[in-house]
Amino acid sequence: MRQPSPDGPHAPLIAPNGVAIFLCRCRGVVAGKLDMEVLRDELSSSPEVRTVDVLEDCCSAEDMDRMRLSLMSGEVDRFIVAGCSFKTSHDRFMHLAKDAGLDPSMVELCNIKEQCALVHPKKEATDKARIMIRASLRRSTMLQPVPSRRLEEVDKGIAIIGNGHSAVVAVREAIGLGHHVTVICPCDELVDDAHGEETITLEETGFERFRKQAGGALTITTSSVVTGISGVPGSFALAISTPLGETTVNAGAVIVAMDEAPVENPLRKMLMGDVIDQHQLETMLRSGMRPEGTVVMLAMDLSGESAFDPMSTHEAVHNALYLKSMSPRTQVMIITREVFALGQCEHGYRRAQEAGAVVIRTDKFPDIGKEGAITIKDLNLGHSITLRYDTIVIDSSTEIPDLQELASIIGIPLDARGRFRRPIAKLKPSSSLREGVFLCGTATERNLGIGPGLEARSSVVMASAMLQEEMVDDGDKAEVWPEKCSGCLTCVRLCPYSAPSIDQEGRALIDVSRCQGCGICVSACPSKALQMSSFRDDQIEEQIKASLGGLR
Amino acid sequence: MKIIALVCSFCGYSSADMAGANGETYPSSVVPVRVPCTGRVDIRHIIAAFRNGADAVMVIGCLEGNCNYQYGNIEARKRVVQARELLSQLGIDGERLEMFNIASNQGWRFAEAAKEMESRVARLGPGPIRRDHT
Repeated sequence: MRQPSPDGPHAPLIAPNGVAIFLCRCRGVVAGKLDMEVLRDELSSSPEVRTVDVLEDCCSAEDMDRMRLSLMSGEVDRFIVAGCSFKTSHDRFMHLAKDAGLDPSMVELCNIKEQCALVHPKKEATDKARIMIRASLRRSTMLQPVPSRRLEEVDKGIAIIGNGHSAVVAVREAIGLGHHVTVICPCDELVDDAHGEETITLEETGFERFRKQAGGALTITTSSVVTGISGVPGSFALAISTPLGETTVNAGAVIVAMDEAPVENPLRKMLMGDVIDQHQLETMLRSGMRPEGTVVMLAMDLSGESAFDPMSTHEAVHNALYLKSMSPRTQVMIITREVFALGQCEHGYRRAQEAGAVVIRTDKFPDIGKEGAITIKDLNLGHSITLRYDTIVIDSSTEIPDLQELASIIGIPLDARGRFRRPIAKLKPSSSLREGVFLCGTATERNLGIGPGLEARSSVVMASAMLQEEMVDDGDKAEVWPEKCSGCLTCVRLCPYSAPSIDQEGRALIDVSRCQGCGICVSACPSKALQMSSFRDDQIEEQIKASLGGLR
Repeated sequence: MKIIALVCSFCGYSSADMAGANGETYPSSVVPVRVPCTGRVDIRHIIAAFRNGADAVMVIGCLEGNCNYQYGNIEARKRVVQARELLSQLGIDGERLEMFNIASNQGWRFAEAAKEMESRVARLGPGPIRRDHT
């Protein structure tokens, strides 16, 4: 674990040895707008600055070499690259710092390209760049080393917490990628309940066969619940309660693969005639059978809402396309409020319509008459239409298991419906809000739209990729100054990641493996007992002051 | 004129990048200061900006519901509301402070927000420090 400095997070700043500034011409893009020579001459006169170099293209191998040589002179302990966006170049210059033997947390980037040269006329741009680089210089001289700890040995094992199809797919993928896998299954049996795929169960045949294939790499504990999780990504320890007693599972990564349980759709009892659900339809189609006559798919619940699960319109679209390609003359109609076509399903939706499946949009549950007639208020036509049908297909309903306890133990919150909440899927697909813990399974917020099987494989691939890397815990985290802390619980209540807790002395304690460095607690702390190494209040305030050109 | 834009490291910063990449223009008086998340923005930072001569302060975070840290931008908005009240008690017009939620690909909205703040300052006159010193 990282040790906070004994003086607390408000310790006096360590004075810089010297700062190197690299001004990037960005192959003329920046240099065309800014007067680089003037900037160089002005910056050289600052007392902390040892060198100011104007380089053609800081991202090029040649200029990276020049920068490395310059940084290895021993005169400087930090540097500023004034060029393009922090978003695109931060990793590159962090690595450069490491290569040159400097602390990567002492790198400061100043965006004089997108945020200056590209948006302002020549004179204004040079004036603003001068102010921005001076503000960066002020910030750079105040930067402090962020404590980091390299994990000596990364545990390549993966723990999978799951109960069904997603867990089974994840197990196969993880074994295939060469990981040791421990499955923690809350039920008394791990069953692959997905239709149309090879099932593995703990029944003698399937389980034994799969286990033989996996060798000693697979352990499955059933009727087990996780009671605690500690450690950091690359070296987690999960406390497990099993019918045989308490035990500990060690793993580098954790995959939460909880599936929803199938339940009977309440619509089934209300409808007459030939009623099947989407699962049953898919099973029929896979075995080469097809339903009788005209097929009407009701992708909605009684209130007329289709949004209770976006996957239900996926299934309807998928099955409609399947049916139309098997039997083009069969009439297929999907009745729904709105088709949620996420990801690849967009193509399926288009192809289903091209194949002749008709989507009827409505906002009310239709009137089901006797003898195969159904009356729908068509939103597009603006009036009601009556259709005849032979088979009616309803959604396959599922029930979200109670995840409250598991969620609080792992430290990932649930959404309003009781599924695991995902971080922004576009940025961090398959990740959870806790580093090193990955999400898949149908009991997870629906964002990816690639189907449960692919989601399970994706989460394993992400976990596997993480375990291949060198594990360094070097992010900027919140630090507590215990003498100042009054134990008011503000940070405990505000943290999105459940990182702070109150220790026995009544002081806040940050679990660095959970802290992601957002700083919400740092700003909210009424006693100012929390700080971050790279975004201390004094650093931010000095940067603001310098950005105002030192008017006062 | 001096306007400080406190931008989060995700959408706020990227929207400023995108404004540049898409050829938008906005007043050069707007200087971005990056924080990890708008949730890190403290009222004291806003006060520090005004005390050191800012005419206006903008806080730019991700769209609500899209915060990289779940709800840092919601916390920031609460603080901005509090800070506006505090500013008006200090005799500084609350309109000089504004919270914006801009997605990373909405460079044009960053440029518009910057222009909006500039026109507010043009209407309200120089900020408290600048007014007293010039």
